[in-house]
Amino acid sequence: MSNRSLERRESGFTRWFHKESTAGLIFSLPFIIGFLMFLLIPMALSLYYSFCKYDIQSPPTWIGLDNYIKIFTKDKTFSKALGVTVYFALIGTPLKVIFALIVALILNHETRAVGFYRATYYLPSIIGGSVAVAILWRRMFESNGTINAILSTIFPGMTGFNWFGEGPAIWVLIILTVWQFGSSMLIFLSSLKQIPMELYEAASIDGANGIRRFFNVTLPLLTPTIFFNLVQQTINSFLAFTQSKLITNGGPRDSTLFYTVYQYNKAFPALGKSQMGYASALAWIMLVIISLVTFLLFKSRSKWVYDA
Amino acid sequence: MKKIVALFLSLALLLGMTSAFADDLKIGTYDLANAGDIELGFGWWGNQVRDAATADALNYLTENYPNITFNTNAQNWSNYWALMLTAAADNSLPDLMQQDYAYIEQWAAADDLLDLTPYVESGALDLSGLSQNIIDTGKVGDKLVAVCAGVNAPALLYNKTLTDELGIEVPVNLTWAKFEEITKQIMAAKDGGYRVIYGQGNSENYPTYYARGLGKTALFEAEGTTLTAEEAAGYYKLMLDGVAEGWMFNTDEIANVNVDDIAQSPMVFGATPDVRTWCSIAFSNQIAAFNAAAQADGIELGICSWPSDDPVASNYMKPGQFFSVTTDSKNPDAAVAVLNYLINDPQANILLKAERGVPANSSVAAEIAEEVNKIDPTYGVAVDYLAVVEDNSSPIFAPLPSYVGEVNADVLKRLSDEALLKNPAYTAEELGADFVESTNDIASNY
Repeated sequence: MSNRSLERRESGFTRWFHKESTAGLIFSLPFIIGFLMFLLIPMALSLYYSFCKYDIQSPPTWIGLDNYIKIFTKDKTFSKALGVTVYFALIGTPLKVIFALIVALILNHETRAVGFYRATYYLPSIIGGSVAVAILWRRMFESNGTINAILSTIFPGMTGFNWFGEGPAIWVLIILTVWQFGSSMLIFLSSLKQIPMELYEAASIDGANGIRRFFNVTLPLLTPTIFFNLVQQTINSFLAFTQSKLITNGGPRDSTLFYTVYQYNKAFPALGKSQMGYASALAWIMLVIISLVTFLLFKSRSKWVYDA
Repeated sequence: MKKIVALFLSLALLLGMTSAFADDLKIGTYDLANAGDIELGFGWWGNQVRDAATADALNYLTENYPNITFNTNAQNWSNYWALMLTAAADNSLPDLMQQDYAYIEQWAAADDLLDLTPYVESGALDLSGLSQNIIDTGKVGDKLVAVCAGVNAPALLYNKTLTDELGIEVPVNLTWAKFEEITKQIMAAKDGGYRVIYGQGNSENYPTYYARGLGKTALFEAEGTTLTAEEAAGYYKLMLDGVAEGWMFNTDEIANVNVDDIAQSPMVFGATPDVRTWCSIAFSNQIAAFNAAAQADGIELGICSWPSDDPVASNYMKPGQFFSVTTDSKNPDAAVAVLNYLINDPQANILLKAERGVPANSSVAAEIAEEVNKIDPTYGVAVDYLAVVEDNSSPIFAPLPSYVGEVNADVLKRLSDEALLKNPAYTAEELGADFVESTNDIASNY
């Protein structure tokens, strides 16, 4: 009785407000707004700009495919930057994943200090992408930096090695990315815990030693996780920016010029006019490349990933 | 009653005093005190010395006009332009922005800079202390879009402590041959250390200076470069030879030293001679910032022209840094008043320490010389140098055509990286031809 009178007093708005779909909508509103403002609209705009000559200061003018044609036919720096980025992704990503796996295996023991070690090894990943680390890294590898100081103690006579020369410079950046293995490591750790003990016991009874157990039990069961980490880190590598911009600024001779940095330099040049339209075209080419690489990775999945 | 009268009187006195005090600031004819609460944006590129000095000058204005406050934005050179470009895109440029002689044309063409002519005519902006020549450097067409804040000149700053120690005399007009000779002399005495950095990066300054040494006025004109392929080859030969003979840092080595930040310039920073230089290609006003960094190492700085076969033809007086009011300003009157203060007020210019160059207002320059010298002894050195340059220089080139930014980024940097390679892949002739062809290509397609 009292219930029914309550219902009657509810206005249309209140009823609408109390509907489940409304609640869902309201709760997802922050995402929807963010998605529209920071993703969909900017992406649509950049697609439009990529067909324009646009210097930010004056309105964009439509030039059709000119930007894309110039990129593929005339722009030498484009292929150079793309090459550097692919090299970085191809070398850096597997190294990082392997390293993360090794550390995860070492930390997959229940001792008292293991929590402390896990937190410690995760730290570089939290602070890894930051400006401070990039600057620290540069300092460490300078000719009179920490790394050379350590090297000269171990190998007397080896002083002043130029880490920022054309060959080694990219490796300074690769070492930095490998050092940030923490998030992959945590994912490995959690899936290591899910491997049933029975399998190891059965393998032991069959006479498999530690190495055999790793390759025949652990590794196959980890392949879905390896796959996930590989996809994740490959995309990250293609989008890496801070290291190249701050540690080497692309030099020497563009040998560490990441694609994103090249794009940034086009959009926000230190001197002269912005080429925002050109930079937008570069961004869309990168989107296609990343999609393609990810597609190929997924294609290869059935070949090597063990799905239980 | 007495108390109230006393209070009233003292209040009146206080008000009278502040307004009398405020009247002393040269802010032009605008009634800034009664303009209400205004926050003005002010962006500039600089260095530690400039950032602090500019903040001091603005704070001094706020002390006198508490209703005027500032939202400042100090950046280094390259970040500054990127940031301002983005601000220009959504019409949120600061009310006042620092400008460069080379770039005012591009910014005026984009209609981002306010025409100051009406303010000069109304007296709100007093430019009577500036010579007409200097005022004209801020004009694009018949619009006055920027006011010169200080005059400077290209200057090679060098480690005078080192040259004195070795008994080397550095002439104020430095020829290329002498530059080479001195560097080799220093290296011989210092186990091959203290080489030089020349020609690197994406700056048009080096080749412009070189081109002027050949008798041109500018390196770039509307249709392209003034250099022939042969002449450009001569420029790249300087670098190829310098690296081959081992007295110039090569591309790989430059990557190992930080040349962008004055505090980390290899002239004043670095543990061993093999990563250090004895000199820096700079501008005369930068001696203050370099000196602040050099003092820690007990280095005294000297100043002379950049190296050139004909320093008198190459060198020029540069209307250095400009201030502009932007078209995005919501309070242009107040912004112009602040501009007037920065240009004409002696106290403001003492606080600014003439770090942007010798004040363009000659009476202010004379008035503050003694005070600034007390704060920073290098000021006198820069002034003396400018006096020499005035008699030993040629007229400056016109503001750069808009396409030059792209040449800097895509051509000059690429070619200087190649020319400074330890094992170069191209000859001077190839590099010179590439420069002329690529530059003219960009210019004609712009």
